[in-house]
Amino acid sequence: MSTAYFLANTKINHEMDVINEARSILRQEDIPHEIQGVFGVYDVVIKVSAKDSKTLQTIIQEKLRRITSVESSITMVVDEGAKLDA
Amino acid sequence: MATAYVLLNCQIGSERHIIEQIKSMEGVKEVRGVFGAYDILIKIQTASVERLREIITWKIRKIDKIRSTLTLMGVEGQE
Repeated sequence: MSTAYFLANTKINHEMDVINEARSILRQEDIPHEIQGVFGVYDVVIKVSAKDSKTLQTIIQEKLRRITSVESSITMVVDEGAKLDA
Repeated sequence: MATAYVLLNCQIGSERHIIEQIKSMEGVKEVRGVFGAYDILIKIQTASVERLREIITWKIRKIDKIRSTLTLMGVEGQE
């Protein structure tokens, strides 16, 4: 299981569009996810999981980074060896 | 319910030690070592924004060997 956090900056005033489009795509593809709009250096945090890192990479590059109104993003892949769930 | 993500950078090699301290803190729902621009990601949820701020300022940011933190405050209604 591979997990990543995708932090996106959106076009101004398009935060909800990005959130709704992300939710729609991820639900449609049955991809486990969490989405949260935020205040700060980034506008949206999307957590996605996949069965392996290759699938995760595809989700990020072909689904998330192509969402309309995503201007930029950074991705952080979870270190599965260091994971300690609270 | 107030939510925040805290991204932090720490001294090299101190990640596990810091994660150990954070995982048992009030409000911490997830704490993960990550690869990327930041070293550790934390998701915190509390009943109030005030409590969230207190935990970030007086608990998390007091941990030894943390070099910097960046906080993203959740917007209610944008989940």
